[in-house]
Amino acid sequence: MTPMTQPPFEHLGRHLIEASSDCVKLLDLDGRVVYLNAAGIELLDLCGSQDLLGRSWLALWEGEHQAAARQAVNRAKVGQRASFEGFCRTAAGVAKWWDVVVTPITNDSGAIAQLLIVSRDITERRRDADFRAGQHAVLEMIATGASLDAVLTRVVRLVEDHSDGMLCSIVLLDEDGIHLRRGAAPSLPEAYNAAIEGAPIGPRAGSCGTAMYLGRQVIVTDVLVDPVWEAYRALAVAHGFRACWSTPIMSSQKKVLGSFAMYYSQPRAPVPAELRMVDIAANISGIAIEHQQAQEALRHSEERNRAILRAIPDLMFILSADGVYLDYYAQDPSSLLVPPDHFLGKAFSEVLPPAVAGPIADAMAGTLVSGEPERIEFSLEPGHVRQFYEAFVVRCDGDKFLSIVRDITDRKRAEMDAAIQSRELAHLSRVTTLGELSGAIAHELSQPMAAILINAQAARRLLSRDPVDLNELREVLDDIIANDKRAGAVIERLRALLKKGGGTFEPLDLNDVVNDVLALTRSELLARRVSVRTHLPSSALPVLGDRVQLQQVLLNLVLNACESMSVVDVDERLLTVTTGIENGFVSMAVADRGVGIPDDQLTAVFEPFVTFRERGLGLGLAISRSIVIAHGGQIEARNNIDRGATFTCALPLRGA
Amino acid sequence: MKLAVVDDDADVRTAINRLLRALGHEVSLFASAEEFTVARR
Repeated sequence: MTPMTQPPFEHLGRHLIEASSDCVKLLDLDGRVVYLNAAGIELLDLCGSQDLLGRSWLALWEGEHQAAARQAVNRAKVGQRASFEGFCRTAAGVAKWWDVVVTPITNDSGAIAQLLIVSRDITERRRDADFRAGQHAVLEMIATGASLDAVLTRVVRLVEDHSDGMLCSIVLLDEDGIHLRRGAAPSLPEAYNAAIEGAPIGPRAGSCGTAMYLGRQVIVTDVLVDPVWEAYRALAVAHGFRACWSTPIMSSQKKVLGSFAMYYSQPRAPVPAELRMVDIAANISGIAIEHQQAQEALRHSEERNRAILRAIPDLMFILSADGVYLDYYAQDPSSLLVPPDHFLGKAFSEVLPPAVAGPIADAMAGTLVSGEPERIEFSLEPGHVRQFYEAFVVRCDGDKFLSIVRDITDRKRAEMDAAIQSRELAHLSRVTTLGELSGAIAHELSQPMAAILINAQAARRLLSRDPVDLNELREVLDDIIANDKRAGAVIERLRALLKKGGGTFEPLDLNDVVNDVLALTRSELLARRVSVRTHLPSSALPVLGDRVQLQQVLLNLVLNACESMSVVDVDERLLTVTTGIENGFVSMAVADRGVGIPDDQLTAVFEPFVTFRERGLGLGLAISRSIVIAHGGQIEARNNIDRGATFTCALPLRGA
Repeated sequence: MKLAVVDDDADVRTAINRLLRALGHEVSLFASAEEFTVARR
């Protein structure tokens, strides 16, 4: 210990200062160091106090730190106690932060004679605070969705920034639990990173491979002697690594996710502060990796859901609690029938006809109570073709509804095709058609009835004459009988058509069928102002068939023709029925001069639910075709050259 | 009295003709309005 020039303190004070763990100095008024305690020698990495004595204290500082030191000295010189925190390297070049207090010391006469400097090494404290701030920054990155690569790189940099001469690396364990995958090692040579990528973990697989294999920290103080590095020794030496400490990165479920390693160019063992730091780094890395894995799992699940969505042909609609369309999914947008902006943001009750909206409202109410999906069927008629749907309605997302809608038109059509083969439907169709004709049929009946009544009244008058004209009276009675028969025939035709059953084939003259139907529809044709022309050969057209069913076919064709002509001029409304024999078939053609049929629909008109009539069920032609086929015949539609369409049936000639 | 009867149904026309004649009227018969207007010219 160098003797003091003029110790300004008492014996006890000197001991206190000597015993202090802070660096204590005395400066003269020129700023030169005149005293340095033992702790100071050690803290500044000096050999003895002579290294510093007589030198300028301010010269130890640099830049802004020197400015802070000068300001503190100037304040002390005018009698004020001053303090600051500053950064200054030791004689060995170690970076240290100091908390410095400068106090003026007066002599016996009260003048300021010296300055007392007490500097406390706060490097550790600063580093801890800095490291904590770094951790927060990393956690924030994770929370704000930064990429895993960016997060892990930041972790590596953070640890590297807080330890001298050390390089960090994070490697990940592959999903297979066997192989190393790249994590982040921005400071390690790329050749080294590439060399260990894909290497298997194991009991002697370097520090990282072994740490992940064992699930615990592996401290290798010298790779040249540790057996763990046997297989990788040459690689490590080639890149100048001598010590490598690795800590496994564990998930919250204690599954190994990867490892955090620190590399040194010299053989060495960690100090407790370094182990603390590596634990924290491994922890944060674990959080980041788990977070990313969870995100990835979510993304995969969403992708899977989207793939499922793409694969199913159903339509899906999300509706709000009050039935407003919020979103939809359609693999084929044309299956929506209307563009999305026609329904999105609108209530289903505005968009769908009441006959459909009602059952949907019921289904929603039902699923609210049961919590189970409710199934409904409905149909819509966007154009000429009726479409059938089945919908499942279920709650989703709390108070919303999910409606999954499937087009079941094909299934319905198949069911209907089967039903058409049955006589029930043919009968139903006949009854429906006759219902449409009821006004005309009533007129058809009322004519002969009126004739009967008037003839009877005339007969009474004739009887009162003298002499009674017996010849005329006979004529009147003949007419009454004829008109009664006429009315009876109408009723008979009606009864036949209204009767169930059918399917009994008998020898027929197709001309009789034509005449029957034209008689039945006479009034209807008159009311619709349709003129009828017939080209019927005088000879019989023998077929084997069901009279009622064949009448039904012609009835459908005649009424369709009338409907088709309802929009054309009265003068143009001409219906032509032509029969004949051709190539062993009896043919019957019904031609109109109406609007015709779109060329691409000439075959489709015979499908169920395809209709060009305002009130049609779309079953008439389907049933007609079914009947003709059952008779071994054919039916076809074509457009006339000038206007309108012609439907032609061909039935096998009986005895041919 | 001279009466014109227009009805599209022949049976009804015949019956009306018979009754009106029995009542002592002179009757001419027409099957349609067109037929009637043509005959009137």
